[in-house]
Amino acid sequence: MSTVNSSLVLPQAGQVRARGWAGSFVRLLRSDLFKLWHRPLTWALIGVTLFFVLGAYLTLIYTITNHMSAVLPGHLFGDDPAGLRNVIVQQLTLGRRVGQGTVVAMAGAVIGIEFSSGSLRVVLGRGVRRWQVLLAKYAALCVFALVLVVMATLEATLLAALLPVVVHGAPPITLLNGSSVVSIVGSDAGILENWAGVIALGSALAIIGRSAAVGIGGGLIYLVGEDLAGRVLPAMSFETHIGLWARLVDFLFTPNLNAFFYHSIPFALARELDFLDGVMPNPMVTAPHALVVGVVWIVGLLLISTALFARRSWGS
Amino acid sequence: MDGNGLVIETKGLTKRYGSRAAVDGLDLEVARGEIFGFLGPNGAGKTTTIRMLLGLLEPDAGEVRILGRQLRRARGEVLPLIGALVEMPAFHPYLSGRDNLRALCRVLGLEDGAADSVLDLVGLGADGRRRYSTYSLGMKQRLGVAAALLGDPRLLILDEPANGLDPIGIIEMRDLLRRLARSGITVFLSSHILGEVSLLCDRVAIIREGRLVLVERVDDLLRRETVFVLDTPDPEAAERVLAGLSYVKRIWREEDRRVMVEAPGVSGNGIVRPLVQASVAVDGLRRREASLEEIFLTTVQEAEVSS
Ligand SMILES: Nc1ncnc2c1ncn2[C@@H]1O[C@H](COP(=O)(O)OP(=O)(O)O)[C@@H](O)[C@H]1O
Ligand SMILES: [Mg+2]
Repeated sequence: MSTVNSSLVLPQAGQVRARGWAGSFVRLLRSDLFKLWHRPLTWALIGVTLFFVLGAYLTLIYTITNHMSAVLPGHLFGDDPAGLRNVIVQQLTLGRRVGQGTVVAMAGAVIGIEFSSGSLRVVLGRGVRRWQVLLAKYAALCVFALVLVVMATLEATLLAALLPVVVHGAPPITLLNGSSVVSIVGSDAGILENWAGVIALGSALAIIGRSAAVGIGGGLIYLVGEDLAGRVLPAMSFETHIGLWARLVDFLFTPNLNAFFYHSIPFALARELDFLDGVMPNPMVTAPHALVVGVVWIVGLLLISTALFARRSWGS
Repeated sequence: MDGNGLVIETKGLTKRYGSRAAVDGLDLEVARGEIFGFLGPNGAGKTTTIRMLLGLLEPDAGEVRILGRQLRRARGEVLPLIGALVEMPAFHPYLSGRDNLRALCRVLGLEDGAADSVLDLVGLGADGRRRYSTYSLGMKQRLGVAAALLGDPRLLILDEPANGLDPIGIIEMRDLLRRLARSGITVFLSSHILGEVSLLCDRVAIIREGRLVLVERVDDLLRRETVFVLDTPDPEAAERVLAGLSYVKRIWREEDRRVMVEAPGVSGNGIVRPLVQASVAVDGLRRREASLEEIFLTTVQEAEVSS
């Protein structure tokens, strides 16, 4: 009798706790989304990103008008489903590059403002835990990244639909089929994974530096540095012949935060856009390997910064 | 829940920074429905104490009980019942005052209407839609109090709420806090100016260098003041009469027609009656407003005498 009772009671208690926890997380998330929505910076950064998608589109038009063969069937932007898909994804690759900056800036700003304004006190004084606050902010930033990638994709698709009007022979939007949609969504997933890493990076830097400026500045410097290092480090390892170093670089760095994205975009584009999108092709790294390394980096950064944030006593 | 009727209870509360104790073995008891003043000069440890009351800072020793529950054990249940304004108000500069409160409403699970009603309460109804970064210090302070009032807290903890308010603002704040206390909310507020709280509080605690100097009803505290201020058109005559009284310890002139009279343990009658009997005109008589420093001095002297 008593065993039956306890087995009935215990799960209920667990459920109540879960609901309380989840409830407060959802409330914090709603509050953070509300703040993002009403923040002018959010809209300015979205505007900048979408502007660069347009820039990629104009580059595309320029490329095609100079190399008309590009729109021949079987070529990169040819008059077939693959060509149409490439037209859309090409715009997104530049959108992703600019979006990295956008997202790192947003992450630095969202976390950093809590340090400069001290507004966290008000929430913490009501019994909310620090790590809950931070988790909700990460979630809000991921929602921001998701909205940004959806908007960029819609813009790129709309511009692709207009392309035949501008350039004779460009693939019409009616060629959009199931497999091109899957391919576009796949590259969106690659972009999101990449941006999640950038969110973790910007937040961690803002927390370590206790300021938005460190998060934003440090994040941007890292993103540029990463491109340079991506070329220098592997070369270094060949020269020095240090086996462990080479293996470490191979395992952790070569499949850097961009590597999964590289695998998520169409092969022809990945090869063509090498310099523009900063993605280093590495035939040794498989997509799952790249994904795992990306996720390990993200989780590691999040754990470290959450631990730092949770232990920090606020203000003076 | 609150068996002994105490809303705040601290025992031996201590916080050290390096070798210096910012708060040193503090014992406080605040009863339900009280307006309790927490007085002390700058750096006395008021903010540090308030941070510990709110779980924003871990004490090095001692414990905090809120509404009868140990804060350490029941944070999640206790803290949502407290509204607080710690040190300077802190909000997002790019949002309007109202949107800052609406963001908080989401955290606390309240409807937006709650934001509007607390804005009206603190007299910010008309400025609610302006960006927070354009607010004056007094307006920021009011918004801080408004945020503390969200969610109908049972205990209000305000750290120097009169900071930055103009005289009219201070009077309005006083009225607001009185109204809240009448509705059953316990108010705990800190200040470094005695005059600010003497008109409002039922009881005050005074701390200095982290230690409790005294806890007393405000009426009794003001009665400790032994210096009277006498305004008279004929100060020379008044001084002659008062000098003849055995219980007058000291007499001096502060302005042309203002005589200061130190007379411990005497009511105003003991000064006025002899003057009237000697036909000296009296324009006014009141106790001088005690300053915190003087209270410290007399308390320290008393402690030395009694030991
Ligand atoms: N984070 C800190 N590190 C070192 N000393 C501190 C810190 N916070 C406060 N103090 C010191 O503790 C004492 C009490 O400060 P505080 O509680 O802010 O005083 P009050 O609010 O009464 O003006 C002061 O001497 C202050 O310098
Ligand atoms: Mg203070």
